[in-house]
Amino acid sequence: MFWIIPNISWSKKGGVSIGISIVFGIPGGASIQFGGGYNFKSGDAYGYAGATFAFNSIYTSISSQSGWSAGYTACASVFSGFPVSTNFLTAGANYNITHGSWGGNLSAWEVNNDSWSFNPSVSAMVFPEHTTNFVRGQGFRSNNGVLRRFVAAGNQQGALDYFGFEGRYDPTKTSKRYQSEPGEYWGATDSEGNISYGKLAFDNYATLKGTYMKEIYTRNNILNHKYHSLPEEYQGLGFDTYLEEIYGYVHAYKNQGLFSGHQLCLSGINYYQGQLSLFGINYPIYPTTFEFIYKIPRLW
Amino acid sequence: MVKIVVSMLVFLFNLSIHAQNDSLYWELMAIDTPPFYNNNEHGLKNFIQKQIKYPEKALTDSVEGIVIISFWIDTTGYTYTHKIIRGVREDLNDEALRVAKLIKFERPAMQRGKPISVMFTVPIEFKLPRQGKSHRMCK
Repeated sequence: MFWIIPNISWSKKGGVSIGISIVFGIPGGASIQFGGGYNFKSGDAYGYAGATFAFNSIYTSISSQSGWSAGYTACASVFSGFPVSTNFLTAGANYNITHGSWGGNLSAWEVNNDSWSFNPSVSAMVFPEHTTNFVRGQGFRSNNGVLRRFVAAGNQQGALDYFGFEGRYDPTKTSKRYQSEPGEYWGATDSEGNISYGKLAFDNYATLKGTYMKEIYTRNNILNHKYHSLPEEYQGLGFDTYLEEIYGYVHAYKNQGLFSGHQLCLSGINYYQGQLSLFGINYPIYPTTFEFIYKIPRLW
Repeated sequence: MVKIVVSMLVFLFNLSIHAQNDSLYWELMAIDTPPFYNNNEHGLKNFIQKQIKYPEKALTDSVEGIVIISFWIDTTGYTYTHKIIRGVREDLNDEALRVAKLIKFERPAMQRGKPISVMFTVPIEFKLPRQGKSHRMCK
């Protein structure tokens, strides 16, 4: 997985900069990144290379005006994969190799040469999807635009392969528990962990990604022997999979920020819960405290 | 007491017959809204309990248990194709089927704003009336 991420930044002291990053891996999770940029106020050109793990980043950079530096930054920095980030949520330290001097920051307060200064900054990604798709030969299009092209060409499987969503497109599958046309479903995972995608999953990119995230959760549970089975006395009644379904829904619910604008019906969990409730089987429910947190859009 | 144990054994026997894995797929179902029964599961349970007429023979034999029935809910909320998934014994099964056929949901399940038919499974519990605590203490 890699992304090309153009970005624009502003800081009180430094003014406006533009840059571009090439990221391999999952930004904020585990990634390495390279990039460069230009600051309009100072006319400073810079480049950097870094690695991030669990919101902790190390980097080295070279600047036309400041020379070589190396540093560490923690929390929600520009390397964390958020569409918009600010130094209010970071802490870091920086050593300028060329000049042999230390600096650092705690939130928006910077320390340099034993003096503190307030220097808030904000950085925003600009068209990261478009740019990445352009580099991958799909034109300057959003993920939605790319998906629409695949679907218009009847190549849903191509879309799955392009976006790296594991599984097969299967428009023939029907449910045993509700009546609908073949393929009228989002996703399904069989008892061996094979994922299928139905027609509904291709409504838009967010829906496809949400379907993938829900199904990959179940697939991983199956392969790792962690799927949620019913108490033995309730097995074989036709709803053996419902508890795992509920956990899958909860997983999708908690990760909504990754697929904002989806068409998945997360209220569908009520059907499974209602069924298990009749039998007195315990099941999880959606978190209700600070639920908005799960809906905050994020890219990774 | 012996009969209760016998009925439990029958129940377990039925359990093993019907214990089959008929759902190989974990589906992200295309249901926006589940079928609605007034006061949800509590309302449905209450309705079932009110409708049950305990078969005389089962009362005499002190047999209790849970009959599990599946059915389809159509696009108007009516139920059809009732099937015993797990039974206890014939008279209780028949009574459970009779009660299950009386169930009508107020609203059907919805898929993308349109009603659809869905399958539903209900437990119908036959529980013998219990004697009061004080009565038992007098014994």
